[in-house]
Amino acid sequence: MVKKINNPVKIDYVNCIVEDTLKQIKPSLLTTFSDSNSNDNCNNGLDENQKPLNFIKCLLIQIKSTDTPKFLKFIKEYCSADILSRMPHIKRIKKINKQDLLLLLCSLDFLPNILEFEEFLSKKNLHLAYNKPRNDCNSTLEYIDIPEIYPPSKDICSCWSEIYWPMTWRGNPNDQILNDMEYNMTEIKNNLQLICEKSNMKFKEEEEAKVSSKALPVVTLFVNKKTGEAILSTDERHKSRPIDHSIMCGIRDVCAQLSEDGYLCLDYEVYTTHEPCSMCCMALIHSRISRLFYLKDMPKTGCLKNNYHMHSIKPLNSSYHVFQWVNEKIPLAVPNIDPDVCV
Amino acid sequence: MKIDYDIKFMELAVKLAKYSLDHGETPVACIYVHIPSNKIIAYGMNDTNKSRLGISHAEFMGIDQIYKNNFQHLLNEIALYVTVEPCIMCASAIKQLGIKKVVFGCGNERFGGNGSILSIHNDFCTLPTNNHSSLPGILRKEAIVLLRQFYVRENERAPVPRSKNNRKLELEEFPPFLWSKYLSKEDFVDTFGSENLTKYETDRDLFSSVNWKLVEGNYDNIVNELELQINSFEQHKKRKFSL
Ligand SMILES: [Zn+2]
Ligand SMILES: [Zn+2]
Repeated sequence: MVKKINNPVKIDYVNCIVEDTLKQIKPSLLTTFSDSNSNDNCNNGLDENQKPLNFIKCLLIQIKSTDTPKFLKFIKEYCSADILSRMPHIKRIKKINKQDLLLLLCSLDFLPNILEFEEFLSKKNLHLAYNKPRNDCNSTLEYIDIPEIYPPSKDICSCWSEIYWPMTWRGNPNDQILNDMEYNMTEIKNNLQLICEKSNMKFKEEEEAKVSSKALPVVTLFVNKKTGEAILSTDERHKSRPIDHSIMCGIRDVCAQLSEDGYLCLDYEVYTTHEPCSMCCMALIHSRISRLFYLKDMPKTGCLKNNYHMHSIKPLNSSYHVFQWVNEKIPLAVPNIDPDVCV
Repeated sequence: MKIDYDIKFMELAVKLAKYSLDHGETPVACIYVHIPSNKIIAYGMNDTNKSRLGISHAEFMGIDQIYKNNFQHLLNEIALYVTVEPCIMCASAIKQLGIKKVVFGCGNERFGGNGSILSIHNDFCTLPTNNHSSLPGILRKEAIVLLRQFYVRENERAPVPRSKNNRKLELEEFPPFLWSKYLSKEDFVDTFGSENLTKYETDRDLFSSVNWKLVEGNYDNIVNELELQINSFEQHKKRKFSL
């Protein structure tokens, strides 16, 4: 990981363009289809698309301020596998008064309730003093909801801090994502050039063949990041099934030659000529690819840039990064396809 | 009731899901029915764990069968019965194939494509001319019970298993079902009758009790039975064409 300033790769963080060549199709961190049964009365002042979509339920305890170091040590030692430990922007403590404070212990996935915490302490023979916190109406408040995603802006961060739980703004997360990624520009260009040529060749062949059911000139390449091995697939729907798009065929081909310890398409990056349809975009999520590069937009049916931003529907758990080739000096032009067709 | 047939077919899907559970797979299963003849023409069970192919969902396994048996010319006379709402990928595939109707049990909170996350079945970017009708909530509780049994089993293998008391309690409780996510009021009344409208308005299930007998049964013969039914449909089709 290099500091932004030391990164030899040229990145335009404002427009999200790498080396004037690859434009990041940004994930929409806040999706507009928000959950209708979310707790409305604590969301005052936030408009609909500033609400986090999902929450993580966490255990909350009340402790003496002087015990803080002991508890932080406990968390460091025993809770490192908890999801909260991977969310450094979430603060652990919130002051109540001079002597007392609230401590965010862990997510319920880690310890489901206070009894299990109790058991855990006695098993480890640890002595830590705490109370169950109480809310304004003096009933116990054992759990608290923490937004699952990092706040998308500084303003939203301070808003969420007030409404849900204190958190710190650590800079635009997307800058960090772009900065931390590896870009082998030569390899990326070669792979995209390859599918571009294949696509144009396919188009010419089909034109000359004069058969009634023509193959679509859509080409996809799956590249294994570890071994460098590449699998090329083409659209097969003309043969029989209308759902045999090049990406679906490619996923099947990858699976067919998976090694003993291989898992889905976890080690693969995908290069494809046309912006994929809703089925294919979701199939790539199920297959756990890490990155996708594509050339041509499908304004009506494409589901990465033009509809849904499918690659970012569930921001933390299952998403991939998407880049489009935008280098005008090296245009990689592929044949047009009927705009109503799902690619 | 108008949905008597739908319940009957969904019961078969639930049995098949239970069979999946008993054989170590995720309990999601489906049945494809030829609407004009009310005959079963294909079935599918989730196969992602065994195959390591992330797209081999129950719906896709059934589609493979439809093509293998050469029923693809019937696609636009087919209804799909699936215990869990199709994911976005499956919803899109079903729509692109021109399937007429989708009936499902519980919603798919993470990936659902018939209302939970997206509404592929009536969107504009996935072949809008192929919109299909979508009927949610049929044997929802039974579908949830099977999924819970699967996760309890997974959890028992986890380092910190949950205590047994919690589990019993969980089995008796069900989250509200937000009908309006999946169905308009008009469509609800049209299918379930105005006498059931309060269920739509209060997010309650069609049936208040769980059919425990159905979800606890042993269905080791179900695959054979389904194969027999598909065979009989093939015969029926042949006879029809030889006339
Ligand atoms: Zn596609
Ligand atoms: Zn699916």
